[in-house]
Amino acid sequence: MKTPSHFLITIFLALLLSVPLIQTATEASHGKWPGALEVFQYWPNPANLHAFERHLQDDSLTIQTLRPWIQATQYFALRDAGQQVLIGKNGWLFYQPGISAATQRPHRGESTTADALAAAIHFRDALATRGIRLIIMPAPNKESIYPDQLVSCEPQQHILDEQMRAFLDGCAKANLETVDLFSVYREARRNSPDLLYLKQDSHWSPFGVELAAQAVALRIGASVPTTGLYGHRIVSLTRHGDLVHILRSPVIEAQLAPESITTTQIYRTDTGGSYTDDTGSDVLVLGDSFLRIFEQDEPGSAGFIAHLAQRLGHPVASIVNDGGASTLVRQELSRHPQLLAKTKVVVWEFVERDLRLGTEGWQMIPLPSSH
Amino acid sequence: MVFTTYIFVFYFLPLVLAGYYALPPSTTWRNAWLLVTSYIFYGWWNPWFILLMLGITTINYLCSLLIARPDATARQRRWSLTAAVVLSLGTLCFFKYFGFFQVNLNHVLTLFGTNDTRMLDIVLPIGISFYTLHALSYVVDVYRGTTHVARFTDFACYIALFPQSVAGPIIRYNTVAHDLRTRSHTPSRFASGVTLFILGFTKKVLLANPLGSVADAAFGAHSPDTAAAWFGVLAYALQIYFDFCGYSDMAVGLGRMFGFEFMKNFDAPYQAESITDFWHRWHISLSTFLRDYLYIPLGGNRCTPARNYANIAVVMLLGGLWHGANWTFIVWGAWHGALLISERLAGRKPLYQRLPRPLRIACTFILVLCSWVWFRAESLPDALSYFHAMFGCAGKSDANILLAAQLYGPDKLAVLAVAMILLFVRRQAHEWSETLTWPKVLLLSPTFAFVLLVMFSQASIPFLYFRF
Repeated sequence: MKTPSHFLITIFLALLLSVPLIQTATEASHGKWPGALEVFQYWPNPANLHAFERHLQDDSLTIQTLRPWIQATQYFALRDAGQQVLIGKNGWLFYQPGISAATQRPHRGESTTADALAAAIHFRDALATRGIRLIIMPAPNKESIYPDQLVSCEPQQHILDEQMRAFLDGCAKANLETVDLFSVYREARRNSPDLLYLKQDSHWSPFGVELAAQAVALRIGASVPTTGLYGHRIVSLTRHGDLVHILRSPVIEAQLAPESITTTQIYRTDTGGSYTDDTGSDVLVLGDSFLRIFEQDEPGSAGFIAHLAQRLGHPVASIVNDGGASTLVRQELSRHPQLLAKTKVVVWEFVERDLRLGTEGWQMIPLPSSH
Repeated sequence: MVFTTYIFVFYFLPLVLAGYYALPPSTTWRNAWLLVTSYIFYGWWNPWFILLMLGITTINYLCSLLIARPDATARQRRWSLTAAVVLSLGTLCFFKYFGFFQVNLNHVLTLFGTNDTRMLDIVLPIGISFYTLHALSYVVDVYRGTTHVARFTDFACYIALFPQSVAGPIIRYNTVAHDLRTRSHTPSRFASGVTLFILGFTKKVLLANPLGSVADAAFGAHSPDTAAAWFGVLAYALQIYFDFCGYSDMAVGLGRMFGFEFMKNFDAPYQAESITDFWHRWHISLSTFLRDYLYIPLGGNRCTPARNYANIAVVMLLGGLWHGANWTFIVWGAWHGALLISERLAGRKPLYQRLPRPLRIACTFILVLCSWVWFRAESLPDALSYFHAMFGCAGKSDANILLAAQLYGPDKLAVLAVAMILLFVRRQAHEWSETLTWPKVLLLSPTFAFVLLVMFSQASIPFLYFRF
């Protein structure tokens, strides 16, 4: 190379050309046309052009190969886990959009506490016309219970942000029945070393599940756990939490040890089979992924629903939709009128961040016809 | 299309470079190639916007032909210039300010108990503020006789030229007229362009983008505490500088790769010792444009002091409004105008002239920081509540504990520290790129590879000045 200028130009052009050449060669070796030519297949409107640009990037072999390594470097060297996850202390991970929902003013189009409250009152009133009782249970964000694992603050500090406080106050004023898990968990942190949330997951731990089920069962009126129909057995498992999966970096995943979890699985003493719902139950539970974890995920029948059923002494019915507790579960209920035929109590769980981020907002959904 | 995206770096730029250098070395062919590819670049946001750019180009070109006709009377020349100004600024005002006008009209109508007017949803074509000024500078220069009428393709190429069409620097026709007709291409010039492009790319990806997330978190917070508010505005000051300066470096660098020489847009602005000095260093292409095409025609400083202060006020208010249709930009312009007038009253010196130089720089920096609050806030009430937070008057919020986690991560602190150090480096990118040595090349090459890797892990974040 004659001069620094020639050398720099060569390196610059080599970097620019290497990526599309590798991509084209790889696509050709698989008998495909170069993806870059797809731009000529569609009418060039903004939507098509942006979709083409996105596909070009998503399909890039170079990016797919290198991105996980870059993410891992950023994660371990700079403690930067990207836009979705914040790294806390001692291996704790936190869901960034949930934190933003607490710290940031609502963006245009996002729901407000007033929307949630209006939807809850509407739902309660609609159920009341059929003699059905509604119990609302907001599940605290992980960072509301464990802020000390995220930032330096007083040990066992807890957070009840303005939106949640306004929602709970609004519920009290409107005589909406609520289960205040914030108080339950605060008390539990004082009295027990057991963790209420998983370190690598945005959801509660088996201990958090049991306390929530106990609190709801108490509210419903089943003060003494029934032991006849259901038994329980300990099931241990190891797994990476959803906050690790959300990073989409196999390199980071390989470096982080999976979390060991001890769950309590509920089974029927008469058949020995795991707990299953009964769509004809007098208790219907609606909620999001907090109801899915350990229940539909491994090990199964060890989540909130099974534990609530155990404490009530009979099975419950449920509708679970990840991220959809604000509106989608009620929409699904409106499509399944038979679920309300014998219902006397509806338990409605949603995670704290859904006050702002609930999918489809907080729509007023009419109940299905009772016929 | 954004410079720091996969499609631009790995597909668009190599294709444009390959086509450009494969063509015969005639500016006619190469300008035509740059024109076509620049329209593709611009039309990537929305192909219909190309028609608007073409319309502005054609109107201004026709007006320039009328002005330059040998038998044109003074009156005809004046009317042609007026037509170009009215049609260009009218188009700009419609797309950029009509919604703002309607919102404020509705406020006034509501005060008088009248019904609101129906709001039109107008999409702001990207870059219109920049290429309108480009076109007007050409027509005015033809009117003044400081430039000759160009070939249409050359003029259209100047307006559309993708390195500078959407966010500047604001290039005047007469500064590139020679390059449009004849330009030289040498490896050293190309390499200096590559150097600037890499430096600008690095500023955007490694500094501006991470700092932007800090600024967004602070300015979007319910009620940040005092430390968070100052930290947020500091992050924004650094973000807007490294974002816009990075873009300008890339634009100048790309220009050099195609044989053009664009003006330097920044000259270490946060090393300014006064607000007057700041405006000699910040967005130089805009400040000199406003000086030559607005301030001096208004009378400049060759008039009574009172008229001179009024001229400064008008220029800064319009400069603020040019950035966006929001009262926050007008107040930002007024803020700077007031500070410039106060310095003019004191003989072009700041009120803190007697302080040692580091303190003069610090005082200027704090005044500029405060101005960025107006610039960044989404509304005047938001800006005022942010000032409340900065000066310790905000309410307390539990959520501030969590906000600290979003602001003070080790990655954020590291980026902020590096950015602060770079602010006070004496040699800026332009000077650094003038001569290439082996150590510089051995630093630049892995840096570019590293920044590309970081780009792979970032979401595409447009440049801040794309919205103005």
